[in-house]
Amino acid sequence: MMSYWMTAYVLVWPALVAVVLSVLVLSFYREWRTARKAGRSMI
Amino acid sequence: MDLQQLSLPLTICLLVVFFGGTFVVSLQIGRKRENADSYMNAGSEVGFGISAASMTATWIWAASLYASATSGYTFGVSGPLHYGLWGALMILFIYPFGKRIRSLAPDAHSLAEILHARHGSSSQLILAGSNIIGSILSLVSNYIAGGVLIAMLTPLSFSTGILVIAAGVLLYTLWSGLRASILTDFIQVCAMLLAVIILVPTIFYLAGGPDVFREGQSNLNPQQLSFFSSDAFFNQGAPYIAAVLAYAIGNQTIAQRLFAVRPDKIKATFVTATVGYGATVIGIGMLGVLALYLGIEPLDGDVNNLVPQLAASYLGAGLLSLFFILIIGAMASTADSDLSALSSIVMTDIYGRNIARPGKANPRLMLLLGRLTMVASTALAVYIASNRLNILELLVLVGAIWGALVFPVIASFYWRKVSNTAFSVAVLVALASFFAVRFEFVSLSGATALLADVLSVIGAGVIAGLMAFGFWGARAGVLTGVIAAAVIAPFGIGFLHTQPVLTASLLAYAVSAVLCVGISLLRPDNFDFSRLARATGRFDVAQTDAMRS
Repeated sequence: MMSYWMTAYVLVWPALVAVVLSVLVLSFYREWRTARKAGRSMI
Repeated sequence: MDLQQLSLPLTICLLVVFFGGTFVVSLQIGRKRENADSYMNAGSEVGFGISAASMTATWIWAASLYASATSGYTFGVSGPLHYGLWGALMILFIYPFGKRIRSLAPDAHSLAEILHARHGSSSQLILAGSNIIGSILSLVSNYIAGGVLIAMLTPLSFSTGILVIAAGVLLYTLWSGLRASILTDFIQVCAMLLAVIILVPTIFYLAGGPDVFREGQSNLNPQQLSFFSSDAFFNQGAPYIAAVLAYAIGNQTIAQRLFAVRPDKIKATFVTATVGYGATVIGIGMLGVLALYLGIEPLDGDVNNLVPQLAASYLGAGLLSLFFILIIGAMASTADSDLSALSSIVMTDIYGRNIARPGKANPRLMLLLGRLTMVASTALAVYIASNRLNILELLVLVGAIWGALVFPVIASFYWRKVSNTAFSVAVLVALASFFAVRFEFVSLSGATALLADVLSVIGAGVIAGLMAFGFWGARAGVLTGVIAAAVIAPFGIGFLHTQPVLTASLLAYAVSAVLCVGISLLRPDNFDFSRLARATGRFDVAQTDAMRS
């Protein structure tokens, strides 16, 4: 049982990182598309 | 167990792809749109995706990945939490202050610049000076970490590694400043996060998977097995809370991103960076916990070798390349931020607000100074890193200055009574008391120990109060501070002076807060905050207007 919880404890962090990465990539894509439509630079 | 190494052609290929790729990305920022203000704040209208990625990348540096694993190896299962969780929460805690500062001075370039408008040159130069030392030391740490990594995982030498990383970062940051830094941060953070997603589970399963916890349990003592370890809290968590709050407030790399992001995206940026930093750093810290369960001894007895050692022990060439990119990305993203921070401090705080006549700063000259600063800083950091000069005392100095600055800086942006005298005296006396305790110039016994304990309890109350104040205002801040001090006092008095590192940090907070409040009440300034926006405007007005039209 302890091994099960410790495994979850180790693996939950990469899972959280995956969520953050998907948020960043999707936001970047939306902003890039909006900027391209408006004909301006993102920065 | 044999350590895997990358071959020379593969190493060169990875370095060329990484630094060449970031250089090509930075070329997307055209030379035509060159502008002194944008060089420092990237136009102040950066969207959520890039700014959140950049904030995350900047906050994660190679040393934080190694330190989290070291904390896991030293303190056991709670170790990475006491490193990564507090570091992450500090990003969250400073965002209300960031929103306030941005609303007071929307076109500012650095915190020190706003302090110049608020108090004058002495306060500004205390902060700017600490920023310069802090960023140079951060560069040195990153270059040393890069040199060590390259020497361990590739056939290249330590010195070659330092030169390659320093030259690569300078190459893509030199021309466009912060704009290049934050655009390339996005690419780098994607590579870093992807590496964590793949590498942590892979190393875990290759090292033995869930069985490791059953078979290796005897390698841990009761404190290392506990999620509520007092060892981990007093030796890692508590000193780190005090240090990292100071770092978050005092560091120009964070402030620079605060001035770059669109004002309505500040909260989302800081919240995302909180989760991104926390999950990444704690995730890598789990490798230290694994090493402890596995009974691995760090190479050459140096715990900083643990993470590369685990990677080189369990990964093949393909995944080891991914690990290599993870660490190089962490180093490069922080190093380019430090170069941008250094250039903006010299451009704004030294030239723009102190050498040039008011309203007469030359934007072309500013850009030249910014670029020369980057080259000179790189050369200095490479020299220090190559000779492995001891930077520990300097790191302590910067931490102390920032700890002493936190309360006076925050109070200066909310309370109009804070005067230049109150600010400067509070910071300098707090610094003196920090060094007296940290380096044991004063013996903590008898009445001195009692005084140090009482002040440390006040310092803990100040930290708790500041955190609550940012979110819920002055009344909640004072109430939280008083309650925190009352809760800590019964066991803190008589005990805290036995922890000199923690006591020194808490003293810096307490002394600076007490003096800043006391002197401000005796000789109030009654500052008009609306003056800040006018006194911190743009330098390159013609270019900026042309770009926006």
